[in-house]
Amino acid sequence: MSSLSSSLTKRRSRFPVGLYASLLPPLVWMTLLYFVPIALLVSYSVWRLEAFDIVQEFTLKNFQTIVFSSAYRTVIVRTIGTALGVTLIDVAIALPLGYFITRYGGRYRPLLTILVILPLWSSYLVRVFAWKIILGYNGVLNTALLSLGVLQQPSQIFLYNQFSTTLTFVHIWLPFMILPVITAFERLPKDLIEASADLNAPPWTTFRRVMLPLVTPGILAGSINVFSLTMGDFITPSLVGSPSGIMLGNVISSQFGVSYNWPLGAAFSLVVMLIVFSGLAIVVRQGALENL
Amino acid sequence: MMTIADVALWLGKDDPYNLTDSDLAEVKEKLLELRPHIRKFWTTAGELANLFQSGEVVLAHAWPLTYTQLSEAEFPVGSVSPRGKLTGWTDSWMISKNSRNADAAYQWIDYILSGDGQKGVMDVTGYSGATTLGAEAIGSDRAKELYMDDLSLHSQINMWQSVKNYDQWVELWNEIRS
Amino acid sequence: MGTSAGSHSNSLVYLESVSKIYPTTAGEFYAVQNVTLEVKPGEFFSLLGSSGSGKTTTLRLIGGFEIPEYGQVFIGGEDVTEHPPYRRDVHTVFQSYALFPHLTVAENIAYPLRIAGLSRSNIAPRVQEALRMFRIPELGDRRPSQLSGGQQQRVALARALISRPKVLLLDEPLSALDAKIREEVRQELRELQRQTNLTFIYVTHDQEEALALSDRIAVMHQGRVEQIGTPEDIYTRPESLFVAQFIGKANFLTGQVMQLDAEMAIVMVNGIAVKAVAPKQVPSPGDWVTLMIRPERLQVGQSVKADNQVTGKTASVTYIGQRIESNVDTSLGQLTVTQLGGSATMGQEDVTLTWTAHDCIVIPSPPSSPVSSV
Repeated sequence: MSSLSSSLTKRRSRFPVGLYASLLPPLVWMTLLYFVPIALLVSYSVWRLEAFDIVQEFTLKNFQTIVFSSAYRTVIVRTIGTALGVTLIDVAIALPLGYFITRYGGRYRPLLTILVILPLWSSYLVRVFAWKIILGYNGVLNTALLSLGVLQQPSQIFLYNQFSTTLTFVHIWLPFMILPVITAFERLPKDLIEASADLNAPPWTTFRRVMLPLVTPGILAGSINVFSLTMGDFITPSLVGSPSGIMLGNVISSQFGVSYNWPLGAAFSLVVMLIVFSGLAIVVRQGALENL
Repeated sequence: MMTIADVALWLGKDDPYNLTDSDLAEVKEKLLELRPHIRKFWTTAGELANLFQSGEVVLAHAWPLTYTQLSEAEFPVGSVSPRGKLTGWTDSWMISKNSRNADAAYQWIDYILSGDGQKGVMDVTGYSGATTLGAEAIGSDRAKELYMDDLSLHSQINMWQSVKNYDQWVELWNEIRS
Repeated sequence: MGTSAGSHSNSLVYLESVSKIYPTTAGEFYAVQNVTLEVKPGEFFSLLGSSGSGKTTTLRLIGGFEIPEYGQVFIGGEDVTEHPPYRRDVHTVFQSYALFPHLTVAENIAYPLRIAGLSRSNIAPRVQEALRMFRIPELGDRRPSQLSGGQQQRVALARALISRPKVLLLDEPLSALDAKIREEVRQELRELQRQTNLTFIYVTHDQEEALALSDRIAVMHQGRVEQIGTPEDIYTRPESLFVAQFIGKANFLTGQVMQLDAEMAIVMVNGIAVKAVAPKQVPSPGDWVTLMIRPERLQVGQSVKADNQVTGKTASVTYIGQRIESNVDTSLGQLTVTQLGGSATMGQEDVTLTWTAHDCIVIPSPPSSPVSSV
């Protein structure tokens, strides 16, 4: 009798202790290092600075300052423009590179991939300084051009302008673009490319109609990387940038530093986050996160 | 920021730390006029010395420190300063009103103002000191190098003061740089 | 080159002494070695072999995915040896189907037409027609990932056939399907080929599939063609020991040729004279040869028509549904016999086995090694 009744009672599903226990540490981590700082940032951004004191009253003054100052608008536009430009150039470099490494790399493919990410093993600052040394007045490039007779005297056009900023960004963030792009090319089934050729598509058509759509998630993933890294950077523009070419990162660092205006700095930080998250939202809809 | 005060003095303003909106507009205009000649805004003394040495700049609005550094490195450099239109700042020690051990703090400040204390700061930083005792401690040759042979110079310097409309200064500066 | 193309003007695909070599650490590996074969228009031609036999590489040489180190490939009389795949009027159904995951079923099928530069208004009705023909009209808007294996196979076929290529290459197209629907699809494939009268070149490792579908079969082994012939040729008259062993089950006997004329051979096996059909490559009296007798060609009991007879004892009997397989120890060695189920001879200890000379095939053995029975 008892065995019959027990077989009729539905077994209660067990409370998944293990699942919650394993979720707890990352949750604590995220809360302390992510959600709390963001909450702090948001609250600072709606406070204001008055006579070197932070007044903890709600105000939108900081955002008004950002929107109505032509200087700050210029900085925002320049920062977005630079980030987009750097992203596009990196895509233009990473696509053919990823294609050739995965298609013709053969047994050298792992080696070539390592060479691509090798710069990541040296300090970021060292790589930025390297460009100063290359592009400077007495730099490698000028010396080379002088000895080739292209220039009669060193030129100042290579350094401390939008060109040097963009070039440096393009170089230092390139690995973050190439890695997801190479991964995307590696995941591309070879038989799809053969099938396209088999159905009489010449190589360029195959690239455009089959390869490009299938590696797009990788390109978008790399674009998120490069775009957000450029949006937040302040070291490259201050080291190799134009004297009149500061970016949002510089403004934020000066607000938290010499200007001691944390509320305005926090508001600027939120603007950067907003821009990055808008880019992210556009890109996530294309399925880029699968390739990150 | 000090550059704004320097330009204000240059434009003949009496109090370079108390500038009206129209004063700031004048300063801005002057700075924008100068901007095409600017190669780089330096952020550290070391960076500026490097800029001279690598041939990037030939003229800089700078501190005496850079002149001293470059001279010591036997870099051909000279320096000029506008008569009566100097700006400057002094680092200061302050005692918190909640200090639990004010006596120790006073002792420390006494030491810093003494010859030994001043000499220590000047040896480490390369900046000029602030007291006669300090000038004596480093000897007259070094005192001359650090513009300390005649401390009456200090009275001519427009020392940095808190600026009331500092927000506007920051914004002006960011405009120049954007 | 032109002359050899001309001499095979009625062949649609002609491979002339092609070899495909891959470098290895040990030297060169011949994936395909000196293969010559021709496929006629409208033929269902199979390349049959185990994995590593070179059958898929041969197909890839025709498709243009590999270029042979030696020899020439002709399609429709034109030397296409070094043409890339997109310049060959040949389409492939891949083993994996290789459907484009980012395109819908209809877009997949339309792909070759779009490549050919047809306008959308011309493409749409043809795609609809193809969807109907392959009985998948409701799947046009689906993605390949939403299809079953059988449906994917139909899409792959539709895509490969829609622009009506001269030749359709099929690389084990049924291997990814369940055993149950495989046979059904096999029938459809055969019918499709008859209806369209297209030339199919079909790669498979499944002998039953090859025998059931093909007009002709090329049996491949270690990069070489062992034999080309109709399914019946291949099964009943294997020309090499490999083909005889690879296709179906068989009894093999080793013996020495005694007498020989144009049609008949008498071979001594363990002191018994066995009458057999003379092979194409005629051996000389005294040569060692292998005799092959299919288990179902052995008759149990006396028969007046039989050319050969031997008695023996039943060693074991295996019941396999519709047929019964017995092993009989005879003075020729152990012979395997298959009979239809329910035969009266079941369970007898002493049996007489008979067979005709016609069912006993002489296969020349390599001179050095007389082959023992398998």
